Amino acid sequence: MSAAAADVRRLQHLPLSASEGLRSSLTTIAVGFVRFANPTHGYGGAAPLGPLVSLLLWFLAAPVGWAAEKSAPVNLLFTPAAQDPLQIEVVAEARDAQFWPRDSTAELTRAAQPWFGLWLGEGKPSSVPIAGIYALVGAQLRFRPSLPLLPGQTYTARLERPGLSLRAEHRTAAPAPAAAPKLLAIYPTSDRLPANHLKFYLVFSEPMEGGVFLQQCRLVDARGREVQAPFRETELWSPDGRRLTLWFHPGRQKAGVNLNVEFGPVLHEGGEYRLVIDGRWRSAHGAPLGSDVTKAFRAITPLHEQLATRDWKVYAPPAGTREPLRVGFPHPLDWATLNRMLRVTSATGEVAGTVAVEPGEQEWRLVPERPWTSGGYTLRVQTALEDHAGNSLARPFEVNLQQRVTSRSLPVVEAETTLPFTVR
Amino acid sequence: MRSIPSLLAGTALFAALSTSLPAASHLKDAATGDPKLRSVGAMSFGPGGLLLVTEPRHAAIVAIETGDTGPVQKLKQRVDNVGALLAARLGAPEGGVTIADMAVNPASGKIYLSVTRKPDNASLIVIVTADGQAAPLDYAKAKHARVSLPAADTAKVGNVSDVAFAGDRVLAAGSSNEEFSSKIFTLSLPLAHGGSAMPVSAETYHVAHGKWETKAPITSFVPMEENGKHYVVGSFACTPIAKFELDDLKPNAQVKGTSVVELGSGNRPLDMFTYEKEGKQWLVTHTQRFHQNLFGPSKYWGARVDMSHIKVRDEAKINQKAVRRDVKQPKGPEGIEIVDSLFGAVHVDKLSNTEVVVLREQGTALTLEIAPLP
Repeated sequence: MSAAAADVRRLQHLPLSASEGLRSSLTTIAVGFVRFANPTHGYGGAAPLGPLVSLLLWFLAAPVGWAAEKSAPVNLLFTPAAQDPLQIEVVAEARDAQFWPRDSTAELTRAAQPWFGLWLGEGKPSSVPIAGIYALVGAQLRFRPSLPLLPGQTYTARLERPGLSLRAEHRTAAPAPAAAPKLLAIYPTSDRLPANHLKFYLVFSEPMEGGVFLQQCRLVDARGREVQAPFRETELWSPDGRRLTLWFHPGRQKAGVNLNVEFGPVLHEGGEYRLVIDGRWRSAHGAPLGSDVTKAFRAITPLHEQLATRDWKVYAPPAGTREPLRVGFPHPLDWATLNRMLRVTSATGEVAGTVAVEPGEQEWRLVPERPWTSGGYTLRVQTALEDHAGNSLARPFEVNLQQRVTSRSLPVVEAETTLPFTVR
Repeated sequence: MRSIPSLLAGTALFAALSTSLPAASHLKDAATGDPKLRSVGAMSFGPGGLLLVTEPRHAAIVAIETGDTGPVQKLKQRVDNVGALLAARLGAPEGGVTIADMAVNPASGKIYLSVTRKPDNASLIVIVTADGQAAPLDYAKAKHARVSLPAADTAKVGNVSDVAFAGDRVLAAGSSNEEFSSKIFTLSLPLAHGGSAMPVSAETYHVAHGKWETKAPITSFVPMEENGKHYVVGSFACTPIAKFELDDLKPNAQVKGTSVVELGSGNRPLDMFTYEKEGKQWLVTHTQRFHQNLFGPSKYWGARVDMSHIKVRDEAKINQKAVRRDVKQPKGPEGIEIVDSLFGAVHVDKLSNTEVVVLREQGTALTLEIAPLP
């Protein structure tokens, strides 16, 4: 049972006056009014009060016992859960269960503008209330929102019955000031990228606001003009929400494909560009980056060739050491696939260790957990490994069919290619 | 977003019968209560109120037995500002809610929206009922099964772009957040909670001008059965519509799809479904276009394609010779037409063979309404 439920149960056994009930919830302030017009309760007249006046009167009246409070037919209060103050329940407590219509919960659940509910802000009676579950437990009518409340907001509970109009406000604590997120890295790190470059990886210190990346990222040419519609619209985050894969629009970067022909490529060989990440982009906690982050680069000769391992250099470490195995590439390769698609095995199995991709993405390193032992090893590389233009060990990103005489057999997915080396 | 494949009489009969079957038969070792969705994206319905939800950032499919089995009560009148309605219902400031996808439960006509609330990124499903009211899906009596896309491939699947019930299995399309590629996964029935899917396909290739062949990731699809064979009909990022034959696929094989229709360049396909009218079967797809608008007021538009174009087998009418929509005309060639009621449609899903539910961009707001199918 939640603390909120426990709190409510206590109330059930120990009916509270309006003031006691309100004081039991530290963050709850009654700012409405009770209109004592229901003759069945023996009260007459109406006393609508503005929030401040009401609050003042409540404080003044509480210590000496305000006659009206003992007679209020319903107490309206918020009960936040102890372990999570954003998980709340709104409780309207009557003197006895007969006060509530027997089918209250069904009626409230069905109603577009229910007579009891919770609203964000001031909660105009004609507006749509927050969704949640109603329950009638003894003399208590309870409402639990479907989702936790949001921090730093004011919520209003309202109860409107014949002759009775109650309001209570609840202000959730403001979120702790969030530290500004950081854009830790933009890959590739090279400042020279092929004119048919495909993608960047933006690595943030924490999860960022989703759904806005197209507004927060822009590409600017040497004259400071923004390149129009340079990015693929699909939003691709890592599961932890910290890494965004930002693609140039493939339809514009692929040779001969519709948009490439009609709009031209995103990059022109020889051009100078700046990728700008807007400093107003906020973390999921709402704190902005603070200042723009820029990656300047030059577009160089496009890459169209299928990758090959024949030009790779494997620098075998000496036996008995934990020096890194280093593998060098003639061209920069894709940072993400480099981190994932190379591994080393020996006769006894896979070599465990830490992988690093050096700045410039032209060298891969493996630092073993245990010292190297003499003997033969195999560097195993998935053929899906790509360069910056999407050319892989399996195939070039684009195939010019007119240059091929025979039909090409499709590569097998996830096939590996191997490079043997010896540690001495 | 998907409709049950009903392109053959037998399949249609199966679909009709299975709509009334309890969805429980499609889940195994199901969990009860809130599945605590970690992220939400594309959705579609199976029979008996079985809701299939993608967790796009987490490479998983959650199948929820909603218990929403009808009868059909369709939306009575247009909902004018869906964003404001959802924000109010979820206790968020206006603009604090993002809609990822929409699916109509064919058993009840209720409209399901996959929604993310800002700034806490709460992911949930909201149901809009016939009277235009919205409320989060109540899991109190619901059962669910979460199936992950294969663990070995999880690092590659950065977005689950679509999911659909295909009669004897569930299909999902996952695209990589590293390579420009996609996979199609099959999930066996019953869907086992904690289970894993099997990748059956990897790529299609897009040929431009008969010269350049490149990979193209699948963005949206519908299952199709024809002459006893199972197919996936998909839209691709460069807007060909292509089909794969599923039965011949081997695990982890790479298979080349057959391009059958070109809708025109620069369109990002969003949703697809099929319907039947006067004995004719149509495929509806709607997209977001890159180009200036030639027709209609919006970047969002949709077209219908006579299924005979999809079923074509003639070598002279596929791949680089596939039929191309006349991008300068609202219709043509025969069997390819712009659907006027889909202008501005951000999401669409079939309600029946005569009506479609449209989440439409209207100025700065989103409206929800039922529109006729041509």
